[in-house]
Amino acid sequence: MNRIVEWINGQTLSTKLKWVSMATSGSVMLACTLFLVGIQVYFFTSSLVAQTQAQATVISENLSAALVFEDQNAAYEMLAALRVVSEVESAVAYDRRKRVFASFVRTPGAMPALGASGGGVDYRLDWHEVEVFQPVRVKGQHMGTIVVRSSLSTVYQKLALYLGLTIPLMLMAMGLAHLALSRLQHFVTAPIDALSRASEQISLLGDYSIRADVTPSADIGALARAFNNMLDRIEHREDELEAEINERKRIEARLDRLAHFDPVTQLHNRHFFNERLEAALLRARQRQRRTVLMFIDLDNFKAVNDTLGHDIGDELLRLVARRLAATLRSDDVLSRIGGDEFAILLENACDGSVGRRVAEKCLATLGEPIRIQDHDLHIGASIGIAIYPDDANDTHALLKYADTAMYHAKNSGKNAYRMFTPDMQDDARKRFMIDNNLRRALERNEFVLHYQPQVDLHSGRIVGVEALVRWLHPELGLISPADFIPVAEETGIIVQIGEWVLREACRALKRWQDQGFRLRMAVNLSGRQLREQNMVTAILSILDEARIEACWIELELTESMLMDASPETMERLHALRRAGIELAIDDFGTGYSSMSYLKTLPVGTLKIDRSFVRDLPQNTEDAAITKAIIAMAKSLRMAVVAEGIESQEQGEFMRAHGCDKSQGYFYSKPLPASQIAPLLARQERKMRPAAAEAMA
Amino acid sequence: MLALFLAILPAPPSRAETATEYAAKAAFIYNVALFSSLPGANGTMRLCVLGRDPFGAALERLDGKAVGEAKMTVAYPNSGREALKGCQILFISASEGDSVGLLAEAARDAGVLTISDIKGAARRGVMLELYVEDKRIAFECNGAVARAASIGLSSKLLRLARAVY
Repeated sequence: MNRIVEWINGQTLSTKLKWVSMATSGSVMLACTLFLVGIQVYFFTSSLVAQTQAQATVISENLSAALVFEDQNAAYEMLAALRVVSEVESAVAYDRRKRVFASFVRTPGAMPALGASGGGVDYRLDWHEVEVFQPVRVKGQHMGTIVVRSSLSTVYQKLALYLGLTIPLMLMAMGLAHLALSRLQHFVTAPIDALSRASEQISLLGDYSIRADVTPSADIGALARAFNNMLDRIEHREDELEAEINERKRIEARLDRLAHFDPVTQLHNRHFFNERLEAALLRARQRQRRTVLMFIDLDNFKAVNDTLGHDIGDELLRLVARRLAATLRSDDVLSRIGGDEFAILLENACDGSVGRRVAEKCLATLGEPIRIQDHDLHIGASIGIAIYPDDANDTHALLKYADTAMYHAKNSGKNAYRMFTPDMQDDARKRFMIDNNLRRALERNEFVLHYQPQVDLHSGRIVGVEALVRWLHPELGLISPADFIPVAEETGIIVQIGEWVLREACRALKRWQDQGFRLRMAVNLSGRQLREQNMVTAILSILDEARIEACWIELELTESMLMDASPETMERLHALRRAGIELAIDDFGTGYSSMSYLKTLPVGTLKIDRSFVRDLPQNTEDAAITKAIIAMAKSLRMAVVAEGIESQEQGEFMRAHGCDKSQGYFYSKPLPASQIAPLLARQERKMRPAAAEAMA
Repeated sequence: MLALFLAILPAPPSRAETATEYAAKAAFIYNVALFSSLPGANGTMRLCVLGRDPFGAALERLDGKAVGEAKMTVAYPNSGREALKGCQILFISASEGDSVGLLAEAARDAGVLTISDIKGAARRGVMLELYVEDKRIAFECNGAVARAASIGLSSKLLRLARAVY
């Protein structure tokens, strides 16, 4: 049953229409035919009954005399006359006593006895015959009965003939109807076909400009109009959607470019680089080749950016990128992965020497001055190199190690490269540990200050001390400033540490001054502190707090700090100088100070770096340098302090060549605050007799 | 003609045979009445036996018997004249053999149905002549006389006649 319904549903509308019409007209015709057949049967039968009755009546009339006079021969003859009537099967005359008087039987068989039915009924009709009972009366007297039986076979024959004529006619009519319907249903289904063809075309071609062409009839015309209106709207919507999608694609492409490219240098960015690195390591793993990862950090880029502005900074980055790209092979990957950081990926390397060679080339090309808008910029770079699989097996570690190596290169004096080594990792771990502990160190008061006396070479008296910070970690013990200061600089905590140092030094100085010792306090200043906007006010408020006059404080700066200093920083230094604070250049001689630049600085003191002092007085070159520095300082009216004096000769050398002050283990190692006052007191006692002698 | 009939007549039947024969003939006469339309028969239909009565008790059964709407009565007139006056059906007994021609003629004029079992009676103007054939009653009919007497003899009856003149 479901399959029939499914099949019907699957047919076209025209087929359904046709079949519905056919079924309707067919059943009407069938009903009519059946009705007519029924009527025919009725007419045929009743006419047969009437005919049989008529025959029976005639027979009974004619036969009455023969019956009455019991003339059987005559009766037989009369009955036999019925032979010509084909329907009559038998005719029997019964006498008054219901005995067979005479009979005619067409086909010999049992002679029907006149049953009880012969009484009141005129005739009896069943499906194959009709039996008529006709009484024989003469002058009102019942003389007997005539029974005539007629077969219905002729009725059936006529019926068969009738059906034989009507059924072909009906089939012909159905055929004509089918033909007519096939022609006519076109008018009904043509618009629907047009609609369906249009939709089919649209779904096939995806072209929403196709319209269904349908004659404007009342119902399907409205449907077609609605359909076309809907198409209008869809087409409109489609256009809008397409425009929007195009816009989105454009934006996506831009975002994609932004996501993978650095807009300044047009190099790939960190994100893309990480993907490339991942892929490169995978390939290297499969082919068992080495991959070299290089991190390049530009030295001094920040200074260029700060002093000359971002435009020149960007231009510098572009030129650096161009130079780096020029030194690389075409299939090496170069990316800008941070502000002034670049990364290079060298695939299919045989060993570390490739990395070394490329690093040297890069350093060489970046060592050349870069000219931008009449500025000759000297840019150096620090390069860290890590190699897969020698150093690390995964991207994360490789990146970290290259970074670590790069930091080592930077810390080793810039414009250098370093291959990663496992002990670097230990350093890094240490730095990490220090970083973690630094913050708490301030809170827990783990820092202490030691003071190293500075001796006036003319009088031999202690005229000042340099405050040196020490970190005494409860578990790790004493941690060297060389270890934790760079970390503190990086994280910025150096600002707080610096302030603490200054405050602590002032407090100690105040105590000693109160005890009657005239001392100058030298405190180291970090480059990071120098960049703080409120540095000047912070320092002055600390001095105020400790009630220390500014002239007793000397802040020590490094050459590189001054070289990198921005105009704002310079202004702050001048402000300090105006406030009366003395400024000194620490470790002088290691940097690249230009004499003309030095002249403009608000600096009153130069401290000769210990590296020049160490081999004095035997090393003639160091002696020459030292003498030159002293001479220059004098000509610039600056005071000179020698560091790292470890012997009598060194001290003598300095004094002989006009150095003002010295500090070093020869005089005293850095001492805790508690030991400074006794030392000073001892000196007083020693000097007083001498002074007395002099006076005397 | 009569001589011829008599000549070929077999030996006279026994009394018992005669009684059965006349009972049948009586029934025959009644049946003939059924198939005849007789003028002047309204209410009663009188059957007259002229001459010596051969029926014995056979006719008694017919007396008062209904013939259609009429009733049959049986009478035995003494003379031909009397018979022709009140009778519708006249049986001319064998004893009147000599005058049968005259009687027939008179009956024709009077409109009386004449029946006789005298041999050759039909030829001599009697309308129905009865005789025995194969132990059954057969008859001949003189239709012309009947028509002349305005007596309607049913065609069904005539069909049964052995001969019609």
